[in-house]
This record gives sequence, structure tokens and C-alpha cells, in this order.
Amino acid sequence: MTSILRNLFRHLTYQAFSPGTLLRETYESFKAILARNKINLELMAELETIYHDCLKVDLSRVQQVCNSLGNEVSAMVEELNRMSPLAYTELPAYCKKINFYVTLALETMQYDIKPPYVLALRDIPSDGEGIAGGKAWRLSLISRELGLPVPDGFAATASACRYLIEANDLKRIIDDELSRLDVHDTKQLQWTASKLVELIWRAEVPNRLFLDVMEASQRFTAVRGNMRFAVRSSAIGEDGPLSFAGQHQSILNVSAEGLIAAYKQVIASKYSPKALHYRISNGLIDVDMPMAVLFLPMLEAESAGVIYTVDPTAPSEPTIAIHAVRGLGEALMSGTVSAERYDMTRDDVPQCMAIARGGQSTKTVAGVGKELKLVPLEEAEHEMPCLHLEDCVLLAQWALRLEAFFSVPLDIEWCRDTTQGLMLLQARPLRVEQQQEGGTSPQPAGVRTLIEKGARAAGGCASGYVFLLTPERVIDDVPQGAVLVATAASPDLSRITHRLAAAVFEFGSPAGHFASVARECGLPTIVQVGGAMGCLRDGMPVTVDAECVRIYEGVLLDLSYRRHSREDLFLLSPFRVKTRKALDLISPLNLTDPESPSFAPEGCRTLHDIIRFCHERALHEMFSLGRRGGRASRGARRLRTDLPIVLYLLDISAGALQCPSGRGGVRIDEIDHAQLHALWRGLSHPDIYWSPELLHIDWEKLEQVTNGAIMSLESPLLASFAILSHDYLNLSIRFGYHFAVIDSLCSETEEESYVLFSFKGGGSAYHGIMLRVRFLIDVLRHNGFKVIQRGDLVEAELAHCSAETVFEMLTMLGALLGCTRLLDYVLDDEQSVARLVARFISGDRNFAHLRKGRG
Amino acid sequence: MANILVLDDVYDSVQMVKKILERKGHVVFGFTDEDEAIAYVSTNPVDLAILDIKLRKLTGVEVLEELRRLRPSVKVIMLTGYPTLETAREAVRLGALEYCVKPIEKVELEQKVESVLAL
Repeated sequence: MTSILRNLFRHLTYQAFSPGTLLRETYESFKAILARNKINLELMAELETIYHDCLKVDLSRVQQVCNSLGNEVSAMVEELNRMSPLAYTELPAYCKKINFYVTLALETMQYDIKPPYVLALRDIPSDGEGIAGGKAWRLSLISRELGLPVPDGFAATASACRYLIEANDLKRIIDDELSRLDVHDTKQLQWTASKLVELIWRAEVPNRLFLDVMEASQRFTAVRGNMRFAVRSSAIGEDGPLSFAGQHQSILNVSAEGLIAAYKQVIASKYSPKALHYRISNGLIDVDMPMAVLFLPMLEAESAGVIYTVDPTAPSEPTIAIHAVRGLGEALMSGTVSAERYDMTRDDVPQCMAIARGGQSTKTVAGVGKELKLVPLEEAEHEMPCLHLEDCVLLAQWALRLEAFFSVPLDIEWCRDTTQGLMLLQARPLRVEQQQEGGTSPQPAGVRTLIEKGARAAGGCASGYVFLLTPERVIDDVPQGAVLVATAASPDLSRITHRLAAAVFEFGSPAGHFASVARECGLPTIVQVGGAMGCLRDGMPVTVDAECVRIYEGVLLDLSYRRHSREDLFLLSPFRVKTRKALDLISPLNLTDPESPSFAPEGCRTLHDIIRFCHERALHEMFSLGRRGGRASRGARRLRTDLPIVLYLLDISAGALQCPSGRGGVRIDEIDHAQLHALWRGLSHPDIYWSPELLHIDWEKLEQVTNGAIMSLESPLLASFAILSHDYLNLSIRFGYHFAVIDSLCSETEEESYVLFSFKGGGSAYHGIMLRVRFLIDVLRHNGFKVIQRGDLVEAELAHCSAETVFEMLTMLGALLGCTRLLDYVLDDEQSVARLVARFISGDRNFAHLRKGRG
Repeated sequence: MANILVLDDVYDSVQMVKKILERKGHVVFGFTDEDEAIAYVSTNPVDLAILDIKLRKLTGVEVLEELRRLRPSVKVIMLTGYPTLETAREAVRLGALEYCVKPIEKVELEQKVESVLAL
């Protein structure tokens, strides 16, 4: 209210004592509204592009853009109230309200940072997944509810992670970094990740948390002084519909003194390049995934591995698959060895149906210090299987109990400790793929099979050109659409899955981390293809049929098949849901008819409505200045024209419209303005079809869409406005649902002269609007404009041009505006766009056949 | 048709909401005093309560908590001219199903009430 009174006071003072100043100030506000209008359209277009093009950005980007949009719209409202202090007093309240709804739509969960910061496994509550993370919580249930052996340990809670972030005041910095991140820009991803990881590393662990971790660890070190720990991620949500397999770090063999550093390192791993890429690509939200951390005593693993209670690539097979390696399980997860596999029945006493020997020559063991080391297998270990049959039976029985308890297929990690025997380390839901109907396809005729061996890690079939990941190459070199062929199925490769057509590895396991990610994103993947690096040549066209575990020579597009799209989960993600909610409060345009009673502040339902309202009312305020007591030459004059277009002109230099005044408006030949004449030549080209009375009387398609609501050409909905000075033209032109601005300066020097053009909107479906956008872009680029597209917003610029070029381009743009009216309703496909572009460029301005064809 | 309680310290606001919802066939009980509203809910069936946040003695969020304690089945819409993220979070935590901001138009109010009653 104070702002309204202040504006009113200024307004009345200037009106009384200095009407010239008032006019200038009103014009300044008008210009500011035009400028903000442009910015707001750009911001809306950015949001629409993020949503419709499924861009993989962090929610903080959307929040930041919405925040900027909210501020800009508020500023626009403020400018409008400055132009006319008493006319729109209710508008700020509606603006504030919609802005608040947008903020609320993007609001993330607020979590507390209260203790407990550390919980012993046995003390994790039955509903404590959100406190200790899935990994720690399930381990606690396995021990407490099922009585199965798990290592004793403790967890630092999600609350502890939030406390760490909060105590170091990192959230704002993290959000700021994430809002600028493009995860597909490898260098930027690395840079942002390293910055965020360093932030966490440098963060000071609050004293209370530090003491709690140390006290919990002393329970173990008091018994065994040189106790070492495995420090593992247990992030909230990491074992949900998405596995986050291998994305977060686990640090093994950590001494008691190193626990705090390892704790921070595990938390920091949520900002590693691969984890950031994975989370953002799948539309998950940072604050929803705080990192709880699990501390377990380090085991001395004779053997370790993974159990799949069903085969994720063939769920109809009634088997339990036990994958096993000698030593620690890290070699299996990281895809550097080929594990042994035991297929067990699902009977009460499971039978072993098949054993597949692996390809292990080394094993991972804990070193003396913090590090792990690789050692060659001993002679006897080459001969003997990893597991005795009775171990396999016991593990399969445990797997069946766990699956019944959790009621979902599971991915279970196990270990055989030298002293404690078999232990369970983790159980998480296993994502199961839909199998191809009709089973595997036979080998196609006349096609050469290059390789027929290995194990299917993820189903599907795809073609591409081989990229051999040799030691001298880095993963950022892998081109789009490649068939990646590598030695090890490293989890680090998961951040380039979006670029790959298929993947083939000499080692690795269907139970490895990369395999999990490949199944999630529908990437056909074969592992254990010994000799692939030698057999396949770089750049060779191949087709990887992971269903049949074959690699064919050549690109066989007919065989291409994905078990599911990698977009499936993203489309249902929290990021998408929140962005959609916000867009529903931003994009829809409800205020379409300025003559309607609902064209009022209380009719505004979205920020777009407020923008439209401000723009329309600003034009109205500006062009009605003359009628409110200013000199006639300073008021708006309507252009008298035979074209069915309502155009008001305002001369801000009091030169161009020096012609006999009258109620009937001004004719084009009475105006002394070369740029307007040039534009008008294009717009009034004799071949451009203009319906004489009603805009779309012949346009059956438009009537269908608008339910027959025919708009009078006199309606201000169609009104356009031009501001003229001796060397300047600003034309805001509106045709129903789309809006264009031409801004040109024809200076004495080429350096200063320019032509700007922007175009947005349309009343048809999104597809039609985008085809018209394509048409505009092609024509503009052909004419030398630099063009930027954001959603349906086209912005074009031609700078540093001669006066002749300015006039020539204005004539072209006039014709372009005339020809493209309602073109979005009649364009069908890219071919029709290309044909029309060619015709327009050749000088043809007669597009009337398009609408006749429709009628 | 539902029994709806409206609590707002401004009498005209109560009347405006009452008028809109009665036209839709609901039975509306309007209050400007929070104690009277709470007393009413303790002894009468109410399907939905529409609560302003800035009241005279208590906040609307405190009233929400009390109403949900007295009658856990009551559905609640908060309606405020002074929205804050804090009160929105707290209201949702305490079981409010909608958090609406004034000025509210007839259509928006009708839609929000219908969608909450349908839950």
C-alpha cells in the first residue's frame, strides 16, 4: 500500500506541475515493461524447454529460473502501477499469491537435523529407512527380525548428514552450483563435482557428531584395538526404484582414526560426477537423498558375492543365481573379474542346477594400511570352486527367506569370513526387466555373427559403431551412439550410458554395478565376452543382440529393440512432477481477450496471465496518454489501412506523425517514417491473403480449436502497437495467440544499426507451433539473422547492418508476419516446412492455398 | 453436501466464503472467534474447516492442531492473506489438505473445496 501511495503522490505532483516529466516517466516505465516482458518470455521459454525437451537439470535450476521469473513479474507489476497508480491496486496481491503457489509447488521436503546422529544397527527402528538409509535399515531387520548373521555395526543417520551441511552453511552454495550444472557437459560436470566434493571434504564435522561416531566405534576398538572398518553409503532412497548401484562410495579397511575422514568421503561421493549424473538424469532431488553412512567391522573374506533371487534379465526362470568371487566382493562389483555363478532351484532344500566357472586370476584383499590390494590366486584356488555346495544351499535358503520377508525380488550381498563363516552384507530390491515376447529371436539370415558368447547383463538389441576403450583413451572420448567395447564393466562408465547404443565387456558380471545401471536405463549389455577387444575393430559397424548374446557384423536397424526406454523412470520422477506443477501455475494463458470482464487482476491464474495483463495494460496506458490531456501529437494514432489489422502508432519524437489530425486516424502515406514504410511494404504484399472481415472465417481448423469463437478484428486482442522516433521503430504485433516484436534502429553508422525480431506462441497444438518455429528459424537464418530458439520463443538478431539492409529486412519481416499467421494450424510435418521455406525464400508470398486446402 | 466451518477474524470474509459455498448447497457455519469455533467442533459434526491464519488470540495453525485433536476426521483448508513457507509446511504437517492464499476467487474456492471433500 505504501508503494501505491508513493506512486500516486508522484503521479499527481507531476501531473499538476510537470506533465512533460510525467510523460517521460510513463514512457520509461513502458519501456521497462517491454524489456521485462521480453525477459519473462525468455524465462518462461527456458522452463518450457526444460520440461518439454526433458532436459536433465537439477531442481535448483528450475527454482532459480522461477525465482527470477517471480521477481521480474513483480517488477513488471510495480512498473504498471507506476504508470497508473490507482488502476491496478489489486494486481500485486494476485502476483504475490501466484508467486507463492509456484514457490510452494517447487518446495522440497524440510527435514530436521535433530539427533540421534548415530545408531547401533540393533537400535534402528523398524520404520527407520528414512533415518538410517535402506542399506543399514535392511541389515538391521535381517539381524533382528530373521536372526540371520550380519556384521555388528552402527550407522550415522541422515539427520547427521543434514546437520553437517547445515552447520557449515553449505546448502545455498550447493544449490547455487547445481543450478548452473549441465550434466551432459563432461568438463562442467567434473568441475562442479570437484568443487562440491571439496566443500564436503573441507567441512568441519560438528563436535557432537564427531563424538557420537567415535564413541560408537570405541565399542569395537575396545575389544580389538586394531579393528578396521568398512564405511559404506546408505543414502536415503538409494535402494528405491533406482538402485544407485556403484554410484556412491564405500571405503574399506579404515582404521578408527580414519573414520571421520572416511565418513566425509562417503558423504562427498553423492556429489561425484557419476552420482550427480545418475541422480539428475533420473530426476531425483538432492535434499531428498541425504547420505546416511554405515560402519561395519571389516571382514576377512575368503569369498564374497551377490545373490539374485530371480534372474533380472529372465525373471520367468525359476532359479536363484549366486555369483561368487574369491577375496573381497569389490572385484565383482567393479566388473574387473568374471564371477562364478551357481544356479540354484527355489525348493525348500535348493538344488544346484548349474555352475559356470568364472575368469578370476587375482583377488582383492585388505592391505596392511588403508588400501586394498590385488594378489594372484593361489594354485589350489584355481582348481577349487569358490563355494562348497552346502554354502550354496544355505545362501539360497537365506535368499528365499529374505525375499519372502521383503516381498520383492532381491539383490543380496554376502561374504564368507575366515572365522565367522557366511554373513549377509546387504539386501536391496532387484529391478527386473520385462522379457521380449516370444523368446529370443533366431539368427537373421545372411548376417555374419562375429561373436556368440558371454552373459546377458541387460537385454535388448542395438546397432552402432565400435568404440574400443583402450588404456590410452578416456571415457569422455566415447562418442554419441557408440557401441562401447571395454575390458572391465566399471561403474564409472554409468555416467555415459545416455551416449551409448550398447556395451560389451570382456569381464564383469550380470550382478555387477554397471549391469544394474544398464538394466535401469535399458542399455543392451553383454559381459564376459573374452577376447572382444581383439576381435572387434574400432569404428566397425556392429549390432549387439543382448537377448541372444550375439554380436553381428553391420548395422541391422530392424533388430533394434529396447526392453524399456531410459526415460521411463525420469518421466515419473519428483523433478518432473514438481516442474509440471510449477509450469501449470506459470505457462497457461487464460487472459486471451482484453475485452472480456475476466481480463482483470482477479482473472489472473498464472504468471503468464499477469505478464499478459501488464503488457496489454501498459500498451493501453501508453497509447491512451494523448486522450488523457496530453497534446494530440503525443497520443496514439490509429493507422488507417485496408488490411484487417488494428495498429496504433505513438510518435515519441513528435516528427513522424506531423500530419493532419482527425478522428479517422492516419494513412501510411501520411507518415514520414522509412522503417515503418519498409515493414508495411512486406506486410501489405499483394499476394498475402487477408480475410476481409473476420480473421479466420475460412479457417475451419481454428474454429474447431476455439469452439467457433470468432474474434472481431476490431478487438484489442488483435491490436498491435508501434512506437516511432526518427531512426527507431518498435512494433509489438499480436495475431490472436502469437506475439511478435520487431525492434529496429537505422542509425547513420552501420555499427549501431540493428534489426531484432522475436516471436512466441500460437493457438494450435505444441507440434504445430514448433513446426512454425522451424519455418521461422530457417527463413531468418537464410537472411543472415543469428537465431536463438527456446521452446516456442524465437529470437533473431541482425546487427551492424547498412540502412539498405535494415529496410530490406523489415520488408522481409513484414511479409513473414503476414504469411505465418495461423501457419501453426496447417503445417503437418518437416517436409511441408521445408517446401514452404523454399517458396518464401524464392519470393512467393501466396500461402492462401494452405488454408483453402483445409477448408 | 458437507458441513463446513469457516473461521476468519474479518466478518466480511466469513460472509463471502459462506455465500459462495452455500450456493453450492453446503451447510456453512461461520465464526470470527476461534474459541467459539473450537467449541462448535467439539460438539458438532464438521466435514471441512476453512481457517484463516491471522486470528485474534490463536493462530490458524494452532486452531488446526486443536480441531484435528478434537475431531481427527475433519478436513482442513488454510486460507490466508499472509502466506509463508513456514506456516504452509506446519499446516501440511498437521494435516491441512490445502493452503490457499487470499485474494481467492469464487471458482478457485469452489474447486479447492470440492477437491478436498472428494479426498
